[in-house]
Amino acid sequence: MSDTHDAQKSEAKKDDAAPALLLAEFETPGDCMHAAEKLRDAGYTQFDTHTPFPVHGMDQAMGLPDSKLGLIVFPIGITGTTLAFLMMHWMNNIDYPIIIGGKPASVASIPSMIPIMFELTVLLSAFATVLGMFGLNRLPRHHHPVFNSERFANFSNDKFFVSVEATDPKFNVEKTKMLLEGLHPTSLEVVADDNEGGDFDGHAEGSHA
Amino acid sequence: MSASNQDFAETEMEDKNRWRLTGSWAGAWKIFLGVGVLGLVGAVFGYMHDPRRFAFAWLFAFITVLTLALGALFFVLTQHLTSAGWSVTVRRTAEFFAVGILAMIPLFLPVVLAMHDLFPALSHGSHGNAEHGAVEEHHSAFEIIPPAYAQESSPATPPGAAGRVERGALPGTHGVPGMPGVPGAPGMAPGRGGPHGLPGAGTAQAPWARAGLPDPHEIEHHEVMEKKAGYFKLPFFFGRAVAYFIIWGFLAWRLFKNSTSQDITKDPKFTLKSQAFAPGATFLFALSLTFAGFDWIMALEPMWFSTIFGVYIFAGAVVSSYAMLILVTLALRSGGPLAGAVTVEHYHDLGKLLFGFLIFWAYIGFSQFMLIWYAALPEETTFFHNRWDHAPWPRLGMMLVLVGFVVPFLLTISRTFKRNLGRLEIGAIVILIMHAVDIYWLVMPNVHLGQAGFSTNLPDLLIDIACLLAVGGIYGAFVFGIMRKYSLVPVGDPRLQRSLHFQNA
Repeated sequence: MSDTHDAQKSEAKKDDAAPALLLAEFETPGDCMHAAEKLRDAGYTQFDTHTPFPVHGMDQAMGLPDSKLGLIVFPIGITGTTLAFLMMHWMNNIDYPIIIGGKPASVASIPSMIPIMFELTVLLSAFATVLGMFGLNRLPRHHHPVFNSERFANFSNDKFFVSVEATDPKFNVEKTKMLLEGLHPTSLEVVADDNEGGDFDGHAEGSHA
Repeated sequence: MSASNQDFAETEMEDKNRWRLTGSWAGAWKIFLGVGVLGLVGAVFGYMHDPRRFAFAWLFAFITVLTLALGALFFVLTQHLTSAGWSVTVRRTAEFFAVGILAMIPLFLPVVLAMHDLFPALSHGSHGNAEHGAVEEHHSAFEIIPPAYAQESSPATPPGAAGRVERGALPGTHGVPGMPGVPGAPGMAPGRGGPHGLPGAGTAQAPWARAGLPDPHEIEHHEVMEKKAGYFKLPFFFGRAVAYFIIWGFLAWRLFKNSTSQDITKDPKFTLKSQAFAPGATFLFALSLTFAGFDWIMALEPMWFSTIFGVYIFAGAVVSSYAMLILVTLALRSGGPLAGAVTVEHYHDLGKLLFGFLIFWAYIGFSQFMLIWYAALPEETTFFHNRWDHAPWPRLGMMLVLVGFVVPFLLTISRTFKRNLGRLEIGAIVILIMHAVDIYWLVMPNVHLGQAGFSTNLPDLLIDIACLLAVGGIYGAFVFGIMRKYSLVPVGDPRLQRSLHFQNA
């Protein structure tokens, strides 16, 4: 499939569907990082980079702040500690006080509670980490317009992409396009949000109509 | 390839002055030496004032500093084990501190001279004739370990209330039914060795005493000490100490030599040699550290045992040594020599290791306590009784939990905190100070084992501080002395560039 055909199709889509994002392709991680820096400096926040391997320094180039995950995990972890303590205290010392192994049915037996407090801390922290990560990444998400681009599959092979979302407050198709063109991408396309997934030959569109 | 006799430091002079200990830092060893000599003078006065206190204070200082050196050796070993590229720029600093273990050999001398004061089991062994000697001969072996709770056996504990624990979390009951008396065993001395907190047993009227029988616990202690006598035979004990120093000195020197030789030749083969050396070295390191912990700290209380004890010492050694590594590289960085070589990315990783091993230390410490507390076996609980029944130990123990774990835990938990060098520095300082407190808490209660009367008067505390300054100062002078002769960064390491530009993903 030729590039020109792709470009035409993208142009065609631009007419019937609103642009979802601009996708620029680069040959090297350096160019990609440079593009990220330019976007960051231009004040863009809703953009992402897609590379076949982790590129060190990309977080800074993109101007990403520290993850907020810790702020979610820590209080939930402490909740687990407290919950375990209250549970053990209520069961062993209040509801049904019983002396086991010569240990008093009081808070003085806290050493025997600590393993459970630790476990529940870890358990709730793990839940908070995984679910918090899903939440912060807005997952699960079954489709993203970026997959509408056929070139995009190369991000897992040998190409480096920068995508700028239309939801970015600074996004303007023409201006953003100009900015990205100035960075000399090997390809630049406007990807539409057509909810059709990667339609390869237009049949899907036809049948839909 | 054997290590050459050539002084590599001399031939390396043509290298640019980058990463050399220059300027004010070049004279740092003199300050350390001054502190060391000052401490030594204080320690001599301390010896004249109270030789027993001095012996324990010196052992405390020796173990505190020795563990720092061993932790640094562990850092170097793990970096070679994992073929780590990130740590190359900080590895040399750790190598200096690891090879500083050589300075610890002469500093062990006072421990050797005072070892009969320190390690009661040695006197037991030196009586010889363990099998045939009269029981009285071995009396000294258990005489020094009157269980703490023996003195405090509360007459208020009524018989039959044994299920109820009166004294906080630690059961005050020995809970062993009287053993059949052994004819010929010594009668117990009045006032001690009597009731080991047996419920309902007053000091003057232990059941076996009323029956004219010997104290069953003394017989038990005697039997245990008899079995340990072989391990504590003086030549074996001394031979082990020699073996530890040979192992540590060999490991540290070998890795140091490989690394510094590479500075000159830039030969990647040295990296491979160190990496091939590391796995076997780690086994030797682990075993020697564990047994040194048994020999020099656990043996202060020879009846007591804990199989996890060596791991506890190891965990404390590693976490404190990483704290020291962070502090020293931070100082050398702002002072010049390491500027640009060690970045916030390295501190982030060192901070992760610090945080991880801090939790490991607390985990081991708590596991040891919890199992002993839960089982409440008399021969195991002595350790915690001795550190709970008399001032100032309970306060120190709580301090270890709160300031030794909780505070640095919160100071180093977050990524942002680890990358905030000011905060990481505070965490490292707290950990380093609490390491000294930890060793103090391990060693010093043995001055008056299981008894009240540990002096916290200023002159006595000054003995402890003087010993710490003496050992720390001499060790520091040695380390900063060799630092002047070598590059502070392994300039020949093939992964140096990778480490210089290292970034956390």
